Amino acid sequence: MKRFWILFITDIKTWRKNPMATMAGFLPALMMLFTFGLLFGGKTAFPVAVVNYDTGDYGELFIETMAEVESPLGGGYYAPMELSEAEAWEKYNSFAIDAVWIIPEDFSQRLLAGDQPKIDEYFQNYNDDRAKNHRVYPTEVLWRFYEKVDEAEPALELASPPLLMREEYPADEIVGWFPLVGVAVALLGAMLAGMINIFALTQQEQVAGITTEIGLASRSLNLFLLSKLAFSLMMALVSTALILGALYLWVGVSAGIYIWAALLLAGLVALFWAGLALILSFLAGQALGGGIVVVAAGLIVFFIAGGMTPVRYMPGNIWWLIQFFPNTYAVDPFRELVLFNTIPANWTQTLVTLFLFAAVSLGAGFFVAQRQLRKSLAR
Amino acid sequence: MKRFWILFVNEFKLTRTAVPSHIVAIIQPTILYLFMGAILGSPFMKMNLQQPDTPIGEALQVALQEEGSPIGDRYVNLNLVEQSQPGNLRQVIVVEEENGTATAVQRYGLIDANQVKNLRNRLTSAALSLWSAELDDQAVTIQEHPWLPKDNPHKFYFGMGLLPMAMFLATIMLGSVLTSQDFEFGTIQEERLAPSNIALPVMTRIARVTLYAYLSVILLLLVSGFMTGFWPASVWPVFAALLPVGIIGGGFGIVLGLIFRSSVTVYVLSMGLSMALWLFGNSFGLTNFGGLYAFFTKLSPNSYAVELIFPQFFGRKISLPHMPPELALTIGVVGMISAALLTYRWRVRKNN
Repeated sequence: MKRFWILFITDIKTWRKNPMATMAGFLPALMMLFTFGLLFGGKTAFPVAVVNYDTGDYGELFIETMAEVESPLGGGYYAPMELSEAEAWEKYNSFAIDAVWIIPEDFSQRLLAGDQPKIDEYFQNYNDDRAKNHRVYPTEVLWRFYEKVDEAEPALELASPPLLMREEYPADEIVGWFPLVGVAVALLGAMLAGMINIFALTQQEQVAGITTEIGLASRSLNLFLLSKLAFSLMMALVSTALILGALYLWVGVSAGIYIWAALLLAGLVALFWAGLALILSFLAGQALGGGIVVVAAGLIVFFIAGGMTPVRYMPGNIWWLIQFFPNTYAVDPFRELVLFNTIPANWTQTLVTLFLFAAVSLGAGFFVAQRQLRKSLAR
Repeated sequence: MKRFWILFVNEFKLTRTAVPSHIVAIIQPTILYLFMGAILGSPFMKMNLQQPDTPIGEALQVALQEEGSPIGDRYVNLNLVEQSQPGNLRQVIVVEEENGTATAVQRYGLIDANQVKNLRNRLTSAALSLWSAELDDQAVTIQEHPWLPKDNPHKFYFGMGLLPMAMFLATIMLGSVLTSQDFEFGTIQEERLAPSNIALPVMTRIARVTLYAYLSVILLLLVSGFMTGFWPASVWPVFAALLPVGIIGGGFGIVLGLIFRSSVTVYVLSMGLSMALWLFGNSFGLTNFGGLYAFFTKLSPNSYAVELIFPQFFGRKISLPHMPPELALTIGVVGMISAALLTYRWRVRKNN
């Protein structure tokens, strides 16, 4: 134990020479949290121009309804701006707004007469996902508009909808998109910090040329590697806690009393990546080379293995790849702990799976690292 | 000029000191494109409907199956199931009789607000089509006038939006890592002992990393083009628009390398910065929702590059509501080269 502490303290001293390496595990995750927060956490209403030529009242009612119908993302589907036609086209052509709606002068007249009332919608479709929104959002507005027209003008005797709709959600509040992504970013922070600190420590040893001395040690090198691993794990947990803290301050979600469980999951994921980092930092000869490959791979894994959407609902066409990474098994339970403050139903299975991933990766990491360190003496 | 060429050639020889960085810089955006492309949001969304056993349920089934764009994909990939609770599914729609009225009850699993929105919109759209049929001539028609004759798959725009990221990632990563290595390997001492005009080492490095970045851009263009059949009308304006992004990235990388002098640190920072500027840089759409996001969009060189390359892919010139892209990129280039020169002077010449 004493030898372990001596090595651990040495690692901390090495780290103090380059503390930015630790920040390099934390800062990119924080940057991504910030970016996703602004991308997914802000207003999502489409800015659209509405040109109202209607001589009656229902054009105005339609615009009011556009602004009023709420999206599950929070706020409305639309942020309508009543503009002159010239202003509307100018903004549309410069992409300051996403669509132009033109309500003709006879809109109310035709609505009241039951004579095929019509509204023109001009929208961007360079991206089919956005175009889809321009086609389906109006249906939410129209549904509410018919209800309001029916209330305002019962004499019209609008036909009732043949099918009503209702929703059931398994929690009091619908989970926001940003918290969902943000929690995954906390796991990314654990991954990056776990890897980067292994690379940073190894690289400093390689640059200083002391790996030969380490390889000469007559005793097992396990303690040397273990102290490095413990340090990286500590930094991974600090990084996760900091990102979760930032998320709490931003959107108010926290693991509460289950923080220990969240850190346990993050720690196991970080250990897997730290094992890979050990393998590559010693195999590549230069820690940086291995680091670059693993960090690049880790970022891609973040995006494709549940970073942006729950794994359980992801399309199956990428499963062949993501099944080989622990993030796939950790990210949904991690979300349940932080977003719903519940122990996941498959908790034991998750822990066993992550433990096995970490064990295999660390076993291989220790084997390769020791072999490479000893081998360097033979050269 | 001769000294420039000597240094320039030497820069290429330095590739041997950071082979993995070069490989990752060149292939990372393409790999990201391939994998993200596989999971990227498509309008064709799987929805589960409990096997209907009433006429209105069957009508809803047909309406859901007919949901879609007249000039693009369908929107609902309908899956008929037996269960009435979502269980392991994302959601299930059950048509039930409630207070004497047929009601489509959509039961969700623990999904996020965006998925709820997408599922809700599709059900509303299908249910509204049934209501519109009842309303007949009283129904309001929304006459659609899309901008382009065909809805372009999201993957097209996504690939195009990745091009500036490919340029920026390669230049900032290589610029920062190589500069840090000068300190780690002590080669910076040579520059201190035999100083040359500071513009020489800075500009040769920027030129070299920019050339490598073009390899990354070409690879991404080829892969995305062969996968989607979506090619720019001409590649030269695309390359020209990406050049300032490369210079900004290279200059930024040199500044990072000079400040931190740790290749591991700057590598991860440059990766994080590239991702952030990509996400801010009009990579998912041209119109944004305002607020702070819009502010940061204006700070990302990717936004301006996307504006310049868009006409080559979509055949239409655009003009976004910010300063002209040529001016913004020129300011970025001049600013970043100046920052690199000043930081070089401070760190290397002043021996800080």
